[in-house]
Amino acid sequence: MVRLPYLTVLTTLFSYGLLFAFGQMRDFFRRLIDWSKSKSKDLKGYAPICLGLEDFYTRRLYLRIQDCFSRPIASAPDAWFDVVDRYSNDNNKTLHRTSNTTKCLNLGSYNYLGFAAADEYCTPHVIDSLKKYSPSTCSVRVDGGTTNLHTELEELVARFVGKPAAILFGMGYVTNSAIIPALIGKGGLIISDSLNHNSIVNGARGSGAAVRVFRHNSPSHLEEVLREQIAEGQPRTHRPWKKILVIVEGIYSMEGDLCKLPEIIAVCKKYKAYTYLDEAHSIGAVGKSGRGVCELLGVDTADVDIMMGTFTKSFGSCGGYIAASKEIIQYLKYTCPAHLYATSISPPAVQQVISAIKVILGEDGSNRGAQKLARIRENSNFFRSELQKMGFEVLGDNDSPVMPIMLYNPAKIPAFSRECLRQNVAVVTVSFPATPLLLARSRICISASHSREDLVKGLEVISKVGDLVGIKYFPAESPKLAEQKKNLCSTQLMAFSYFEHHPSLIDCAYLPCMPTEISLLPQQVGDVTSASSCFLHCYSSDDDPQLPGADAGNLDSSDSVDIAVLRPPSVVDQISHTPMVAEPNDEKAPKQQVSGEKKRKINKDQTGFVTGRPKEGNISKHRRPHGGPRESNDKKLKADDDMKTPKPREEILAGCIHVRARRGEATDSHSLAERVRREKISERMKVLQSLVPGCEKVTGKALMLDEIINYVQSLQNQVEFLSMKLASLSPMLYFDANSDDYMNKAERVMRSTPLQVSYVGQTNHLRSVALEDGASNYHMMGHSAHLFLQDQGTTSFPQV
Amino acid sequence: MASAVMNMTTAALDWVSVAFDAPLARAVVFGVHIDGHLVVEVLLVAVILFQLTRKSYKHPKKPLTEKEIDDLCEEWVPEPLHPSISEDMKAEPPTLESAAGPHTIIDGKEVVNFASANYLGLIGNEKIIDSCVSSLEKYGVGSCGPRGFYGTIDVHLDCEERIAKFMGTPDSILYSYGISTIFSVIPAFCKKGDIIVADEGVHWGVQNGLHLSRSTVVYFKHNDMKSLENTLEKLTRGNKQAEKMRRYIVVEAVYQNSGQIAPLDELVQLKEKYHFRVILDESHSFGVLGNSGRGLAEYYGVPVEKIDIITAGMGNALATDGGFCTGSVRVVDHQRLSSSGYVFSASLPPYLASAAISAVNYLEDNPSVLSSLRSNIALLWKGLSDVPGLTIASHPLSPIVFLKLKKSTGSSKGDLELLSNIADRMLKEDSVFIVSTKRSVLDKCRLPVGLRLFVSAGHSESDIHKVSGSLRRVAATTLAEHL
Repeated sequence: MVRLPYLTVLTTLFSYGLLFAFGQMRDFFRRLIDWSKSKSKDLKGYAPICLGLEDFYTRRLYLRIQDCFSRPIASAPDAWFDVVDRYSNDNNKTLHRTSNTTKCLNLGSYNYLGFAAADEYCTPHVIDSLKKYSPSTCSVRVDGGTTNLHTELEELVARFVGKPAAILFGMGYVTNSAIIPALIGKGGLIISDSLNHNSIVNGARGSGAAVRVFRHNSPSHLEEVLREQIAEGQPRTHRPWKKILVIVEGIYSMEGDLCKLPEIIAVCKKYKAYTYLDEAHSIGAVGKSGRGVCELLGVDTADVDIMMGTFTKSFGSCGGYIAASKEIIQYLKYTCPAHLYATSISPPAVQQVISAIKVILGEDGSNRGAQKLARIRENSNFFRSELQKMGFEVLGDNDSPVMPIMLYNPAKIPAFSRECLRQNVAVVTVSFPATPLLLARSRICISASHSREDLVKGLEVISKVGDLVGIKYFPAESPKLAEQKKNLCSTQLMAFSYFEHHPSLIDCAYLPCMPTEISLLPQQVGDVTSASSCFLHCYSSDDDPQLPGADAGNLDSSDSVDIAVLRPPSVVDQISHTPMVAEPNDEKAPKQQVSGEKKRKINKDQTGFVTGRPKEGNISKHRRPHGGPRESNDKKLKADDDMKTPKPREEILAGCIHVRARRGEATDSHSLAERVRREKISERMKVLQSLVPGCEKVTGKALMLDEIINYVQSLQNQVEFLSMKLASLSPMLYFDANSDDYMNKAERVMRSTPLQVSYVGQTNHLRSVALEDGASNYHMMGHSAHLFLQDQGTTSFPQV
Repeated sequence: MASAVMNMTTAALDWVSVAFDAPLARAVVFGVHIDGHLVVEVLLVAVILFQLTRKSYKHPKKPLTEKEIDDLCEEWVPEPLHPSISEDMKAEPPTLESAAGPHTIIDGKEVVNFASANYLGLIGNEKIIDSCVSSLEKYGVGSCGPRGFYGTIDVHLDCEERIAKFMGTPDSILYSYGISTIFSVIPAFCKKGDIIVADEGVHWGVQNGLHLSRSTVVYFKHNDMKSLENTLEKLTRGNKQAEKMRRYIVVEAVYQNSGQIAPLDELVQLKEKYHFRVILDESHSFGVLGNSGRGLAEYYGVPVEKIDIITAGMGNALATDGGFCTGSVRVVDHQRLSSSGYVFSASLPPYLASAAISAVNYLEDNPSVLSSLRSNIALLWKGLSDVPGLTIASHPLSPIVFLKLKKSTGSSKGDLELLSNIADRMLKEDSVFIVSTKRSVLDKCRLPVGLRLFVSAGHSESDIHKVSGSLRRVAATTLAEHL
């Protein structure tokens, strides 16, 4: 989420105030003129279509910048498209088309996989089915509107998303707004994410069920709401709710962030609420094989009750689907109004989806689907990281092809849009009705059909316009740093190859990650705090035992070194793709928090705390399967799942429950998260206790910590001594880092992602930024680390 | 009696004063003689003060403890997401193996199709398919965006212009799905506090729109102008408030639930008398009624400007998909920002928009299809006039021929079973595909169920004879078995 600086709030409010004042003035004069004219005779006795200020926004604000929206195009919405030029003779009140078009780079369409344009495999099939079935069936599904294609696609969709059955609808919007009333009605409760799409809102309203909202993408708040509602029951009657349906989206279209699905599912399971996942933007676009957020985040589709998605985006067609259990689908087919009363989805559109899914699954006999999927991921991560580097405020998570750039001030909306269009880049700008008033933004949608040159061109233009309009709210990354990052890539590769060659070391509980060790060569590093704060992030993902294997694959998958150079943390980006690695997302959370707290304490003593931390992390991970009351609960919860899927899955789910409270809520003893956190702290304390000799004897946390600090200090001295010896042997150790840069960078991270830093559960984005930073520090450590390791062989570290 | 009570009271008072006077009668504090009543007063004040210092009694409001909430959550058992699946829910519709034209293939057999609202016989029309193909090659299948964000393709604008020109209205607006048209249009214009008068026989899309608008909705008897007048009279008479509210009448031109046609001439008179606006759903009359297929207004000779808002789905006569709303520029422009189905949904696939354009062109060039449609309807009427046990309930010009049971079985579920039985047997035994009305549990329409036959201009005379013969035979046997 966004934290607004005061200045921005003030200027934005001021701009709106100004617009409002002028609008009112113009309204006043309009009324004077209208009054002097004779009153219109027809409308006498009728109330106006718009009462009062209902259309004030449209008349006085929207019309002024109307040309930025609804721009007609005259070609398929592919990577490049023809935007029709328009002109206005009356100050934008009406716009007229001309026959001229301009070829523009398309950064606005939801053409994630590039199926919008004619496709070598899909289009011939579509035309065949058009000739066979005509554009429409002119009938509803239950009468004469079911063709072979419809049944085929229903089966295919069910197979694709991993559910037993599916049902089709002719429009994504109707899917949501007609299905929800069929599933839940009076006496039921819908708990909906605060930023859910309008179709869900309308569906919920149409259902007659009560609606509550939870804070955007916050599992802990969801839990709070659930507990409160179950305990309270229905308002006034206090009868228990008949059923509770929790509705979330996979990727939020205006935020670009991924749903925290594992945590939300865990909470819903705990409280027996049903889950409804809207994958409008995520299906086909994310996940290793395009199966959406479930695949990306490692959630078993059996845990999601209703999976909804649309064919408009990734598949380049129209319509939507619901995938669920056989019984639910059967019930929906019997009663859902959109199935009973709406014209069935047009057969050629169905054929398009069938062909597109076949391409994605590789059933067309080529690997184009896999290429498309790799491309979209690569393109989006490249584009996002470049935008961030330029200093734009970009929302959303890594891997998500939707990336909003914050604009804030209303005047910047048309400025950005028009300037970009003038330089042949078509971007979407979004303001008030679709977003909160203060949070106007521009939304970029990346497609697999964009080539690297397209993206570079887009970035150049956006950067130029960004400077002009003044929306680079963060300092841009200095070229020096970028240079370093470039160098880093090579070191990074080497570093990882180390992991590859000595995987056994990674599993060793006592192995602290190696550059950390070096960072303890103290003062040269510059500011220890800032550097180490990056390391925290860096290693919390690196100490994942799965990494060697995953990473080997990743290195192969990156196309060339070129790409790796352009995209600094290339390996990191991909970590989130292997479902196993979803696990550190959750694992990491408590760890960081614990260490964060400790950091504050220990920093005072000017001691290195870092050695202790990774150890603690590693060990606790190793110990976790053995015990802890929370674990046994989880196991009980997931017992049946474990039968089906082996270990990694269990770990993921075990991770799910570690819900972190938000800032300020952590001390709230009511929250489950707090309890979990405390349990975890004491668990870690026990581990520490068993690690540090002589620690069992003392009681009380403070004393224990003192003991540990002493111990760590002594270890540190040893290390220092050893490394001094080492340095005398090989005097090539050097540090050329500019510590100021790191300071800035670290500060920037803290500022740009305030919530993410505090809310560690939100992983992807954070990790990318953090790792980027970590990586830049990594660079300076790189050489020394290597020398160190080479000299020491594999047994370099002090064993306790 | 009263005196006795008085006596007793005085006696008691005396006793009290004596009792208090006795010990303290002579006590003097700071020169004040302390009488008995003073003692009582002091005591009284003390008690009052004591009571005042106490907290007033409140019902103890104990919040639930964590443990209790845990238990409640543990105890709570939700209902399943769906009710248990009964046999009748498992019915599968027949699957078509070819285009849904007047003749189609089901289970490898060619059948006569009276289930598709292909009124003008445009399914399979070469010209339309050609225009779709060229559109597909140029624009791809989907538009990949809502109208606001590069989902507006030039054919959409052309289609809007074409429809407006055809209807003789200033402007029109395209929606991407037929059913979403009406349920987006109604909430765009009607808000909380407005009044809507609607026919009780409107289909689910309209009902949903009425619900979403949160306006005050009043229903009048199905297609009964007397009832409408009464309702309007009741709502407006002496109601000064009503003048300031927006008031709408919502009707369908051809009711898909009954095949009735709304009497627009009377309706327009009423609307003007009571200053209501009209929202008219022309899904089944656009391209069917009127000399050149311009719909209900043309049929009744009412100028189209008198109807404020006209909506229609294009999935029937035009044999494409999507919908449109047409009316004054003000009405249309208002929807472009405030109609949720327009703003928040991806736009109509461009090939369907080009199909709509070619369909309208075709209709304008070949008005003869309308006369063949009408003669088909008349022929079917003649053929069905003496079906045993069933009676035609629709308007003689409606392209939906609606048959209902002469004698209901008593429940609409029983009726429906019987009628579906007839339809199933006709398909199986005579290869004639007709359908019974299906009702969702969410549908509030309470009109009787029936059999629906969608007549097409593409049907031949023999098709019509076949369906009426088959229906007569099957209805007779089925109803006889039932009795």
